[in-house]
Amino acid sequence: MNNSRQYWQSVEQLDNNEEFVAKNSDEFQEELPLDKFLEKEELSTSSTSRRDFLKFVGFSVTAATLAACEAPVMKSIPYVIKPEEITPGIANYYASAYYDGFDFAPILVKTREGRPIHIEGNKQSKLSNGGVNTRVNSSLLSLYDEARVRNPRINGEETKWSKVDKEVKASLATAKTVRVLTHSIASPSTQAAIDLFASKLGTEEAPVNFKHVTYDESSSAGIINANKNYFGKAVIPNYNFDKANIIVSFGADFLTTWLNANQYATAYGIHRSPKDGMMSRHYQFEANFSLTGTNADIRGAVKPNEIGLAVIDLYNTVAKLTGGTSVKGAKYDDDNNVGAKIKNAAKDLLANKGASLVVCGSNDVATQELINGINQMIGSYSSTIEIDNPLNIRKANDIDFINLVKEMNSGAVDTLFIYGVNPVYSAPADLAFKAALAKVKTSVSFSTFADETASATTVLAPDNHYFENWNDYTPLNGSVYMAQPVIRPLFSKTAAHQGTRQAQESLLKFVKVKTSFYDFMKENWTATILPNQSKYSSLDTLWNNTVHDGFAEFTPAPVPMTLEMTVAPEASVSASNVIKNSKATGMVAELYTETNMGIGNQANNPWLQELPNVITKVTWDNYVAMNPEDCRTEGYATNYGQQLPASLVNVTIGGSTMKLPVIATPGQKMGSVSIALGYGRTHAGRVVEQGDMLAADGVTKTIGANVFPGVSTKTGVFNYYAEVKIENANEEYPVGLAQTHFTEMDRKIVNETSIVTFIKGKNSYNPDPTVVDAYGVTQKIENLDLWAAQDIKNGHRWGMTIDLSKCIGCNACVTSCHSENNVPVVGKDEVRRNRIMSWLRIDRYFSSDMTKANSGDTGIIDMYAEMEVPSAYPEAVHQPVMCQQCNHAPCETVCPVAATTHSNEGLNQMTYNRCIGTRYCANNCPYKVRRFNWFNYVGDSKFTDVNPSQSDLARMVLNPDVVVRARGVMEKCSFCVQRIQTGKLDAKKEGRTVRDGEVESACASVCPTNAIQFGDLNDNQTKVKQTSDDERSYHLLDEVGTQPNVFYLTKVRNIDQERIPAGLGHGVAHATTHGDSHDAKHEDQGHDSHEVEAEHTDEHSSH
Amino acid sequence: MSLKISINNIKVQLSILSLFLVLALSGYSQDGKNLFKANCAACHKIEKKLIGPALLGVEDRWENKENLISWISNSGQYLKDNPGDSYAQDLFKEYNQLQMTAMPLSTAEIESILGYIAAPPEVKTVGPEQEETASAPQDDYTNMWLFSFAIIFIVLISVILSVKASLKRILLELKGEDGLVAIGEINDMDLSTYQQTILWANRNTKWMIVVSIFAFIGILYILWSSIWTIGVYKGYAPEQPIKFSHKIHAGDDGIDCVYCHSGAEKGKTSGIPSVNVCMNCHKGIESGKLYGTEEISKIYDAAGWDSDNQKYIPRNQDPIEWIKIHNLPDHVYFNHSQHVVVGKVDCKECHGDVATFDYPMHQENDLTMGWCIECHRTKDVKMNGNPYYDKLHAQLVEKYKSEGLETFTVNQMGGIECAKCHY
Repeated sequence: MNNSRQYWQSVEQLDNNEEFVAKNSDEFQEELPLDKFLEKEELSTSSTSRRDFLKFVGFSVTAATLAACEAPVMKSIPYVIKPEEITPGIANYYASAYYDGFDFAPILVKTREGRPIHIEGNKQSKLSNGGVNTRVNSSLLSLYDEARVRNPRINGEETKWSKVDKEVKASLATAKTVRVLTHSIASPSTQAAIDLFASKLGTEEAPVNFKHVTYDESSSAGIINANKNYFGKAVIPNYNFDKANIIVSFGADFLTTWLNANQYATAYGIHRSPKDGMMSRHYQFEANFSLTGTNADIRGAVKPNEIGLAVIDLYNTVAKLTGGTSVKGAKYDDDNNVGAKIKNAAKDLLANKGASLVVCGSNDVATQELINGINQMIGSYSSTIEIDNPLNIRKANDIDFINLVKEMNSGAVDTLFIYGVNPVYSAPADLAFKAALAKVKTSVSFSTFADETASATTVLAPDNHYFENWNDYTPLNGSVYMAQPVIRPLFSKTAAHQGTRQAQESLLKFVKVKTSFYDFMKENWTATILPNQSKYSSLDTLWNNTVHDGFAEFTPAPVPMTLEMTVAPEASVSASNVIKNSKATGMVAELYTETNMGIGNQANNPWLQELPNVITKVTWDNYVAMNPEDCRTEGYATNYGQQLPASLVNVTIGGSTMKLPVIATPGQKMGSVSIALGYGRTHAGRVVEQGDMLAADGVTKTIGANVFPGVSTKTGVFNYYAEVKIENANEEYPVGLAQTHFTEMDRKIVNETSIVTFIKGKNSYNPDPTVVDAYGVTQKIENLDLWAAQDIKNGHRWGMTIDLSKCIGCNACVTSCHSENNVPVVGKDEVRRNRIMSWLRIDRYFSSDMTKANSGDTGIIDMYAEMEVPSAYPEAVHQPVMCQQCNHAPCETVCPVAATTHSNEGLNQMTYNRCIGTRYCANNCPYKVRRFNWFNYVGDSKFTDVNPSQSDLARMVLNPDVVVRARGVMEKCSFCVQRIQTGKLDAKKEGRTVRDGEVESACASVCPTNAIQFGDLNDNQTKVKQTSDDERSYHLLDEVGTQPNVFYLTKVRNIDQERIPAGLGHGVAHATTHGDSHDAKHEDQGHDSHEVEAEHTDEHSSH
Repeated sequence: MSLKISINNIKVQLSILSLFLVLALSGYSQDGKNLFKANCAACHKIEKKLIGPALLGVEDRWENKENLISWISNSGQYLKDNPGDSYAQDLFKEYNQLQMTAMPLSTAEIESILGYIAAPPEVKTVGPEQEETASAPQDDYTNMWLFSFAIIFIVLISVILSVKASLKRILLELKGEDGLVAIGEINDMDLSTYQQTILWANRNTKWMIVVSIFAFIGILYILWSSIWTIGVYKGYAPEQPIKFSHKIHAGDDGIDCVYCHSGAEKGKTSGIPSVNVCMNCHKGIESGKLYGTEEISKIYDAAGWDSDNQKYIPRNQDPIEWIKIHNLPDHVYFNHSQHVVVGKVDCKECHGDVATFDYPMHQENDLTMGWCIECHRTKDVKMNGNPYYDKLHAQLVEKYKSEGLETFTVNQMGGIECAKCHY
């Protein structure tokens, strides 16, 4: 009988063995997490029956329904005296400046009803042109950090300010040696306050030994010392990346972390697009695959300790070409053709003499001396480098700090003030700073947090947040930037707490100068700044203009100096020092500052912790970055996901061992690894306690591990690489990856070409995609439509262009979007389930050795399998992806409740209050940009410690113009519709049309390289219209026919080879099957009826 | 030349003066109260210090009435003429050397003002208690009437039922049980009311079906319509911390809405005025028509105003916690300035004729989405004269050419799309 035929669900069922039968007897085969529900004792022992429970549920539902019918009583409390500038509902913007010892940025703070809710760049400042990196725009959240200290402390006990003043004054009265330890002071008034403080110490009979020691946690002392040796000026010069045709960087991540990265990224972006006249060429030689490395046209991998040897190589090549004398070099490990690349770089540099720039991130003095030598040979000092315009945000010479610690250890320091730095966390282990600190009689920290240092000092005199302070900065000569308070101190003196006090004020109070820092600044400006400029006649005009604009520029830019090389060291001496210092045995680890976390001072900022690493897309952790080839050799995991953990290793640096996961990072120099600094904070707040790692004490939970102690000091400067021992711990470790695939698999996702191909015209690198229809006729994509055209010709049509040539992938847009649109933080566990909520993500793709063109005899399955694997030293591209606002949106057609609809302005609208959460739209979205609210992130206890909106304090960061989404609804990029509506309304009220640039999405407004343009596509005058008409412009997945309002501009690499973009070529996409199985060896030429092809003459395809 | 000019000047001055006098004399009666209000009340109160001193007992404070009158006519002149009058000189100094404006009043007029000051008519105070007692009986009457009607109906029904029962009992006695059956009646005298009802229902099934259908539809209808009122607070009129009457301010006094609700022209919320806006007028107006000083003193408490000494007490402010009446859900964005400035919508169109609303203020309209959309579907956008709309208007004319439209509703330009209000 046919009916008796048996079907098995699985092989196990067929076998029907005992284990299977036992398992199958339960309704749920996997173990249910009942313990979690029943962990409370009263629940498991409760007599509440199921029926009772249902009764309660019924009753409470009814009660809730009835209660909901009652009018909620809402209070509306107007001001007693309304401040003139505040109108409820209208944002105020204040110009200010950010400086934390690491980053400097001119910023614009958006406040609503008196509370700061968003940071943008100050577009008027030429220094950064409105670009702010992700660390700066995330610093907003630290204002509302619950971990901020609200009371001064003495020996860890909370106390009153008067007691602190008394304690410190008493200590100063008897102290013989007083030290002030700060990060580089770029503020003239703060410097004046420290000077005044020093002058008030001691008496004539008993003078006090005072010294102000600067300590930069990310040191650049190598450059400072090299310039001291070379020019007699211990400074960091100003670098003009915008004037450089050829940029060669040896391990300097100048786009995000090196020196004044905000300034450099903006300047770099100016010449990265082939349409803007000159396109710069960028060589990068480094060990760690940095963000700057991904943007380089040509990259070479060099071991971190051998960077100096590569520099010698370039020095010699340039010297040879110019007829100079070369120095003795040494062989370095070269498996990436670095030698040849350096030769090309040397030729390019000399061909662009005076318009080239060589920079180096190494902190080795001798290496930097050689860099100076190269820069001199290529004529940089007259154009791209201004040695007479020193950068004031990095001034520290590491030897001062090393000597200070020695002094402290000897017990000679009586009173120590620590401002803006966290040396207990960040000082190299061989200095043993914490032990030295304990020998100081009175140590005072001005930290806003009870961080590692502040909780080890005898006195903690908490500073205000920088949003609550007056301050001034001169990052470079000839300008002064103002930081103004944008909110009254959140913790001013109340019954609940003693409050915070600006550090400068505290310092002055300790020497009985009772002036507010505001008055002090004005006095200082009258005395020093006003007389040194001629633009403003009185302090009032100078001051008011600076407060309004955020900065004042007066003296003309300094004239590049003529070089007087009185003390220039012999290049051969430098070279032999380089060779000496480069010796290392075994595995070498580069200890680098990472784009998101920097030096770790914002470790308690969940926005930054959840921000995916720019290369590996790892969140909530630091890790050992190792080349995948090395990983395979050592047997470490190379693929990660929800089910696929990473391998843990024991890393021994110096004397200490820590556990860290290994992440396969293509591009990492083989035989070396990289580990990010800035992680492993123990005293930062609740967020870092969410980590999966343990600190050295074995109890405290941390996010990642701290490798600052591994920095060595044996050459008198901090050395950011170390010999390490890496052993397999044979343990697994779950990592939260925001992107688990690596390559584009020969699809046109990031359309990338070379300058050589680009010049040949649009058809050779960006042909319009076509489709062969059911009748065999080749059609343009837009001719084949399932739907009627949207009415988008009238009025506005909002659109965006993203120039992939300019986009550096820096993540600034991502955090700006989070801040603008109240995007929740979900924590590592949810990230691992692919539930990260970012509306805007940056996809990163590595190149693969296998391409369609060179597949040769490889069968199609093997070919695609190999395409999934990135090269050992690949190129990488970044692509910001947000809702593409398709005019034929696949999501709209599948929504059963019409919660997502199209607007006549081209927006794909998401209506949260209609959404019932079927998630059909997300499934039907080809770009995967829709995000589902799996939880009530603002209420669920799982997110209490990670999601800022759960604390009363941090909730103030929410943008009141954007709804905080409820559980169970979809959300996605809205094109910042709240900004569009505001811009339109302003224009209507003033009776004019919308100006170009007036409406800008949050991502576009912070972009340091202006890669993102936003505006009205129906207005021919707008930048976005002009860029969308560019020949490089294309739609992401154009062949799907979604007709997006987001345009991408082809990435052009400035290399001399021809490069046909991926996805071009006959037989590229074989989406559908032919019925019979593909023969792996069969050279498949056939076309299916709906196959995508390019209408171009393809001279490079393999057939 | 110069002489001529000065003569002309004098002529002009004289004519202005005479015009002024004529106006003054013709415009105001000799009534002391009106004169006081017109000339003095801006700076003086009878019982309290304002800008100038309180005037009660002013005649007793001066040595003689002539001096007082000449002081009132022109105090500057008086001070010059009488440097020896220490009282007048001290008074001048006490009030920050602020000279009182010279008053072009006749002696008779001043006398009548002084007369009014000496014996002001009683201020009629209507306390809140009186108000309540005046309005309370009305409510009671309605309830009482309803209550008595209900009692009468119950009595009537019970009487009719008992009569029916008695009649049946008589019928039973007359005809016996079999007799009842014979005429189609059943003896249900021993059954309970419930059983009787069931019995009746069983005998009248068709009737029951009709009734239950109607009842079912009725219940559904009630449920359905009550669902639509959930979250609709039309007529919501909560008690407010201050018994503020819009009728007095916007109606009687004719104050423009945006004088107080200034946010309506600038931002998304019209805003409840801050206390300093109230104080613009209420520094002088200390007593209201309905509640006397009781309600206005609450403003003073909030502002930290010491009305006796006419100055603010520093750090003694306490904002007023009004109850919000017009609440829109959190997920909707509404902007007042869009409607008031761009759309030129009158406040009345949404808030009703507020100038006639007494305390407590109430919500006049539904403020539901349907109510919003209704307007967006029917009202034309005022595009004329706003350059923002020039291009759009031309495009819309082109689009609706077949219908020959010249004016367009909000809907026709995409104004009811979701993301116009929800984001």
